[in-house]
Amino acid sequence: MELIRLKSKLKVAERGHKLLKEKRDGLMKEFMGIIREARDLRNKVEERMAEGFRAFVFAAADMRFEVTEEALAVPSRKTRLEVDTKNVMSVQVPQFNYSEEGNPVCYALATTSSGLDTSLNIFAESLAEIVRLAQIEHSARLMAVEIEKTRRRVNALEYVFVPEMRRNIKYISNKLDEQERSALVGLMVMKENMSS
Amino acid sequence: MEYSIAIIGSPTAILGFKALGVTAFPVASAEEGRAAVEKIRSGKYGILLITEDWAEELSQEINELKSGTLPAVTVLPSQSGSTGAGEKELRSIVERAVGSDILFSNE
Repeated sequence: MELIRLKSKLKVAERGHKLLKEKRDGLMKEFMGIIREARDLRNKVEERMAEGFRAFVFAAADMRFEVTEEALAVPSRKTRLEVDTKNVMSVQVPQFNYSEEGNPVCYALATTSSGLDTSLNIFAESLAEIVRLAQIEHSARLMAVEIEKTRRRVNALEYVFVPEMRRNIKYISNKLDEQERSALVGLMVMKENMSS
Repeated sequence: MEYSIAIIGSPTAILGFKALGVTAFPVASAEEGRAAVEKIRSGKYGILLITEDWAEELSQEINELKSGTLPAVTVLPSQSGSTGAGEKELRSIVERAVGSDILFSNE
Protein backbone atom coordinates (compact mmCIF):
# COMPACT_ATOMS: atom_id res chain seq x y z
CA MET A 1 0.00 0.00 0.00
CA GLU A 2 2.65 2.43 1.06
CA LEU A 3 4.61 1.56 -2.04
CA ILE A 4 1.72 2.48 -4.32
CA ARG A 5 1.22 5.71 -2.45
CA LEU A 6 4.88 6.60 -2.66
CA LYS A 7 5.04 5.82 -6.34
CA SER A 8 2.18 8.14 -7.16
CA LYS A 9 3.72 10.79 -4.93
CA LEU A 10 6.99 10.51 -6.77
CA LYS A 11 5.19 10.97 -10.04
CA VAL A 12 3.53 14.14 -8.76
CA ALA A 13 6.82 15.45 -7.41
CA GLU A 14 8.56 14.86 -10.67
CA ARG A 15 5.86 16.59 -12.62
CA GLY A 16 5.92 19.50 -10.16
CA HIS A 17 9.64 19.69 -10.51
CA LYS A 18 9.40 19.89 -14.25
CA LEU A 19 6.73 22.58 -14.10
CA LEU A 20 8.64 24.64 -11.57
CA LYS A 21 11.74 24.38 -13.65
CA GLU A 22 9.84 25.72 -16.59
CA LYS A 23 8.46 28.52 -14.47
CA ARG A 24 11.94 29.42 -13.31
CA ASP A 25 13.27 29.49 -16.82
CA GLY A 26 10.35 31.56 -18.01
CA LEU A 27 10.76 34.05 -15.19
CA MET A 28 14.46 34.22 -15.83
CA LYS A 29 13.95 35.03 -19.47
CA GLU A 30 11.49 37.78 -18.63
CA PHE A 31 13.71 39.04 -15.86
CA MET A 32 16.79 39.39 -18.00
CA GLY A 33 14.94 41.52 -20.51
CA ILE A 34 13.53 43.72 -17.78
CA ILE A 35 16.76 44.17 -15.91
CA ARG A 36 18.64 45.25 -19.04
CA GLU A 37 16.00 47.82 -19.77
CA ALA A 38 16.03 48.98 -16.17
CA ARG A 39 19.76 49.51 -16.24
CA ASP A 40 19.71 51.57 -19.40
CA LEU A 41 16.75 53.60 -18.27
CA ARG A 42 18.28 54.20 -14.88
CA ASN A 43 21.45 55.53 -16.38
CA LYS A 44 19.46 57.88 -18.54
CA VAL A 45 17.22 59.06 -15.73
CA GLU A 46 20.09 59.56 -13.34
CA GLU A 47 21.86 61.79 -15.77
CA ARG A 48 18.79 63.88 -16.42
CA MET A 49 17.86 64.09 -12.77
CA ALA A 50 21.27 65.16 -11.61
CA GLU A 51 21.11 67.92 -14.18
CA GLY A 52 17.58 68.89 -13.19
CA PHE A 53 18.28 68.92 -9.49
CA ARG A 54 21.38 70.98 -9.96
CA ALA A 55 19.49 73.51 -12.04
CA PHE A 56 16.73 73.59 -9.49
CA VAL A 57 19.00 74.08 -6.52
CA PHE A 58 20.80 76.91 -8.26
CA ALA A 59 17.52 78.49 -9.23
CA ALA A 60 16.22 78.15 -5.71
CA ALA A 61 19.37 79.72 -4.39
CA ASP A 62 18.66 82.77 -6.50
CA MET A 63 15.45 83.37 -4.66
CA ARG A 64 14.49 83.33 -1.06
CA PHE A 65 13.16 80.00 0.13
CA GLU A 66 9.78 81.49 0.95
CA VAL A 67 9.44 82.84 -2.55
CA THR A 68 10.23 79.47 -4.05
CA GLU A 69 7.80 77.79 -1.78
CA GLU A 70 5.14 80.29 -2.56
CA ALA A 71 5.72 80.07 -6.29
CA LEU A 72 5.26 76.34 -6.23
CA ALA A 73 2.57 76.22 -3.58
CA VAL A 74 -0.37 75.76 -5.90
CA PRO A 75 0.54 73.41 -8.70
CA SER A 76 -1.46 73.90 -11.87
CA ARG A 77 -0.36 70.64 -13.35
CA LYS A 78 -2.10 67.46 -12.48
CA THR A 79 -0.70 64.00 -12.79
CA ARG A 80 -2.87 60.98 -12.83
CA LEU A 81 -1.57 57.54 -12.25
CA GLU A 82 -3.58 54.50 -13.02
CA VAL A 83 -2.34 51.18 -11.83
CA ASP A 84 -3.07 47.83 -13.35
CA THR A 85 -1.46 44.61 -12.36
CA LYS A 86 -0.09 42.24 -14.90
CA ASN A 87 0.38 38.61 -14.15
CA VAL A 88 3.79 37.33 -15.18
CA MET A 89 4.12 33.68 -14.21
CA SER A 90 1.96 34.23 -11.15
CA VAL A 91 3.89 37.30 -10.05
CA GLN A 92 1.68 40.35 -9.75
CA VAL A 93 3.57 43.08 -11.52
CA PRO A 94 2.26 46.65 -11.49
CA GLN A 95 1.60 48.47 -14.72
CA PHE A 96 1.50 52.22 -14.37
CA ASN A 97 -0.54 54.28 -16.70
CA TYR A 98 0.42 57.83 -16.31
CA SER A 99 -1.11 60.97 -17.69
CA GLU A 100 -0.56 64.63 -17.04
CA GLU A 101 -2.34 67.81 -17.86
CA GLY A 102 -1.67 71.48 -17.41
CA ASN A 103 1.42 73.57 -17.60
CA PRO A 104 4.13 73.13 -14.97
CA VAL A 105 4.78 76.86 -14.89
CA CYS A 106 2.29 77.98 -12.31
CA TYR A 107 3.96 81.05 -10.90
CA ALA A 108 4.62 84.65 -11.73
CA LEU A 109 7.58 84.96 -14.03
CA ALA A 110 8.56 88.31 -12.52
CA THR A 111 9.48 87.04 -9.08
CA THR A 112 11.22 83.86 -10.07
CA SER A 113 14.49 83.16 -11.75
CA SER A 114 14.64 81.67 -15.20
CA GLY A 115 16.59 78.73 -13.88
CA LEU A 116 13.41 77.55 -12.27
CA ASP A 117 11.75 77.19 -15.66
CA THR A 118 14.67 75.22 -17.00
CA SER A 119 14.76 72.81 -14.12
CA LEU A 120 11.00 72.35 -14.11
CA ASN A 121 11.07 71.52 -17.78
CA ILE A 122 13.71 68.91 -17.18
CA PHE A 123 11.68 67.43 -14.35
CA ALA A 124 8.53 67.42 -16.45
CA GLU A 125 10.26 65.71 -19.32
CA SER A 126 11.85 63.07 -17.22
CA LEU A 127 8.81 62.31 -15.08
CA ALA A 128 7.36 59.92 -17.64
CA GLU A 129 10.67 58.13 -17.76
CA ILE A 130 10.81 58.02 -14.00
CA VAL A 131 7.39 56.43 -13.84
CA ARG A 132 8.49 53.85 -16.36
CA LEU A 133 11.66 53.23 -14.41
CA ALA A 134 9.67 52.79 -11.22
CA GLN A 135 7.50 50.22 -12.92
CA ILE A 136 10.38 48.27 -14.39
CA GLU A 137 12.49 48.34 -11.29
CA HIS A 138 9.68 47.28 -9.09
CA SER A 139 8.77 44.47 -11.45
CA ALA A 140 12.36 43.34 -11.43
CA ARG A 141 12.42 43.41 -7.66
CA LEU A 142 9.25 41.39 -7.29
CA MET A 143 10.37 38.92 -9.89
CA ALA A 144 13.74 38.49 -8.24
CA VAL A 145 12.00 37.43 -5.05
CA GLU A 146 9.82 35.01 -6.96
CA ILE A 147 12.75 33.58 -8.91
CA GLU A 148 14.63 33.00 -5.70
CA LYS A 149 11.66 31.19 -4.20
CA THR A 150 11.08 29.10 -7.28
CA ARG A 151 14.72 28.18 -7.51
CA ARG A 152 14.71 27.02 -3.92
CA ARG A 153 11.68 24.88 -4.59
CA VAL A 154 13.21 23.39 -7.69
CA ASN A 155 16.39 22.55 -5.84
CA ALA A 156 14.54 21.14 -2.87
CA LEU A 157 12.55 18.87 -5.13
CA GLU A 158 15.50 17.89 -7.25
CA TYR A 159 18.08 17.22 -4.58
CA VAL A 160 16.10 16.30 -1.50
CA PHE A 161 12.57 15.23 -2.10
CA VAL A 162 12.86 13.12 -5.23
CA PRO A 163 16.02 11.20 -4.20
CA GLU A 164 14.54 10.46 -0.82
CA MET A 165 11.38 9.19 -2.41
CA ARG A 166 13.39 7.01 -4.77
CA ARG A 167 15.32 5.62 -1.84
CA ASN A 168 12.16 4.79 0.07
CA ILE A 169 10.58 3.11 -2.91
CA LYS A 170 13.70 1.05 -3.47
CA TYR A 171 13.83 0.08 0.17
CA ILE A 172 10.22 -1.02 0.24
CA SER A 173 10.41 -2.99 -2.98
CA ASN A 174 13.62 -4.67 -1.78
CA LYS A 175 11.89 -5.54 1.43
CA LEU A 176 8.89 -6.92 -0.42
CA ASP A 177 11.10 -8.99 -2.73
CA GLU A 178 12.92 -10.31 0.27
CA GLN A 179 9.64 -11.27 1.92
CA GLU A 180 8.49 -13.00 -1.22
CA ARG A 181 11.69 -14.98 -1.45
CA SER A 182 11.59 -16.03 2.16
CA ALA A 183 7.96 -17.12 1.78
CA LEU A 184 8.90 -19.10 -1.30
CA VAL A 185 11.81 -20.74 0.46
CA GLY A 186 9.52 -21.55 3.39
CA LEU A 187 7.10 -23.24 1.05
CA MET A 188 9.84 -25.21 -0.64
CA VAL A 189 11.19 -26.37 2.68
CA MET A 190 7.73 -27.47 3.73
CA LYS A 191 7.19 -29.33 0.51
CA GLU A 192 10.54 -31.09 0.92
CA ASN A 193 9.66 -32.15 4.44
CA MET A 194 6.28 -33.44 3.40
CA SER A 195 7.58 -35.53 0.51
CA SER A 196 10.39 -37.17 2.45
CA MET B 1 -7.86 52.70 -9.54
CA GLU B 2 -6.17 56.03 -9.34
CA TYR B 3 -3.06 56.62 -7.38
CA SER B 4 -0.70 59.49 -6.95
CA ILE B 5 3.05 59.81 -6.89
CA ALA B 6 4.92 60.78 -3.76
CA ILE B 7 8.43 62.08 -3.37
CA ILE B 8 10.61 62.26 -0.28
CA GLY B 9 13.68 64.41 -0.09
CA SER B 10 15.15 67.58 1.28
CA PRO B 11 12.91 70.63 0.78
CA THR B 12 15.18 72.48 -1.60
CA ALA B 13 15.49 69.56 -3.96
CA ILE B 14 11.99 68.25 -4.29
CA LEU B 15 9.91 71.40 -4.37
CA GLY B 16 10.25 71.38 -8.11
CA PHE B 17 8.32 68.16 -8.34
CA LYS B 18 5.47 69.71 -6.53
CA ALA B 19 4.79 71.87 -9.53
CA LEU B 20 4.33 68.71 -11.57
CA GLY B 21 1.51 67.44 -9.42
CA VAL B 22 3.64 65.06 -7.43
CA THR B 23 2.86 65.00 -3.73
CA ALA B 24 5.99 66.26 -2.02
CA PHE B 25 7.04 65.25 1.46
CA PRO B 26 9.87 67.58 2.36
CA VAL B 27 11.80 66.11 5.25
CA ALA B 28 14.58 67.62 7.31
CA SER B 29 15.10 64.94 9.95
CA ALA B 30 14.86 61.18 10.24
CA GLU B 31 11.81 61.63 12.44
CA GLU B 32 9.97 63.53 9.76
CA GLY B 33 11.06 60.96 7.23
CA ARG B 34 9.57 58.15 9.23
CA ALA B 35 6.32 60.05 9.58
CA ALA B 36 6.24 60.63 5.83
CA VAL B 37 6.84 56.97 5.08
CA GLU B 38 4.06 56.09 7.48
CA LYS B 39 1.72 58.44 5.66
CA ILE B 40 2.68 56.99 2.31
CA ARG B 41 2.14 53.47 3.51
CA SER B 42 -1.44 54.19 4.45
CA GLY B 43 -2.25 56.45 1.53
CA LYS B 44 -2.99 55.76 -2.07
CA TYR B 45 0.40 56.19 -3.57
CA GLY B 46 1.46 54.13 -6.55
CA ILE B 47 5.02 55.32 -6.77
CA LEU B 48 7.36 56.58 -4.11
CA LEU B 49 10.35 58.50 -5.32
CA ILE B 50 13.09 59.14 -2.83
CA THR B 51 16.38 60.91 -3.16
CA GLU B 52 19.50 58.90 -2.50
CA ASP B 53 20.56 60.68 0.67
CA TRP B 54 17.21 60.05 2.33
CA ALA B 55 16.90 56.53 1.01
CA GLU B 56 20.01 55.73 2.97
CA GLU B 57 18.74 57.47 6.07
CA LEU B 58 15.40 55.68 5.99
CA SER B 59 16.63 52.38 4.58
CA GLN B 60 14.85 50.31 7.19
CA GLU B 61 11.43 51.81 6.54
CA ILE B 62 11.95 51.78 2.80
CA ASN B 63 12.91 48.14 2.72
CA GLU B 64 9.62 47.24 4.32
CA LEU B 65 7.76 49.08 1.61
CA LYS B 66 9.75 47.45 -1.14
CA SER B 67 8.42 43.97 -0.56
CA GLY B 68 4.82 44.90 -1.26
CA THR B 69 3.17 45.22 -4.64
CA LEU B 70 2.56 48.93 -4.16
CA PRO B 71 4.00 51.47 -3.90
CA ALA B 72 6.91 50.97 -6.22
CA VAL B 73 9.94 52.56 -4.62
CA THR B 74 12.49 54.21 -6.86
CA VAL B 75 15.65 55.92 -5.78
CA LEU B 76 16.59 59.13 -7.53
CA PRO B 77 19.94 60.87 -7.39
CA SER B 78 19.96 63.86 -5.08
CA GLN B 79 21.02 67.38 -5.91
CA SER B 80 24.63 66.51 -5.13
CA GLY B 81 24.71 64.01 -7.95
CA SER B 82 24.46 60.28 -8.25
CA THR B 83 26.33 58.13 -5.80
CA GLY B 84 25.51 54.92 -7.63
CA ALA B 85 23.03 53.76 -5.03
CA GLY B 86 20.41 53.07 -7.67
CA GLU B 87 22.77 50.94 -9.66
CA LYS B 88 23.85 49.11 -6.54
CA GLU B 89 20.24 48.31 -5.88
CA LEU B 90 19.79 46.89 -9.36
CA ARG B 91 22.89 44.84 -8.88
CA SER B 92 21.60 43.36 -5.66
CA ILE B 93 18.34 42.47 -7.40
CA VAL B 94 20.24 40.65 -10.10
CA GLU B 95 22.39 38.88 -7.59
CA ARG B 96 19.35 37.74 -5.75
CA ALA B 97 17.68 36.33 -8.81
CA VAL B 98 20.59 34.83 -10.65
CA GLY B 99 22.99 34.08 -7.84
CA SER B 100 25.81 36.11 -9.27
CA ASP B 101 26.33 39.49 -10.77
CA ILE B 102 26.13 38.97 -14.50
CA LEU B 103 25.11 42.41 -15.64
CA PHE B 104 27.67 44.79 -14.27
CA SER B 105 30.64 42.53 -13.87
CA ASN B 106 32.09 43.41 -17.24
CA GLU B 107 32.10 47.13 -16.59
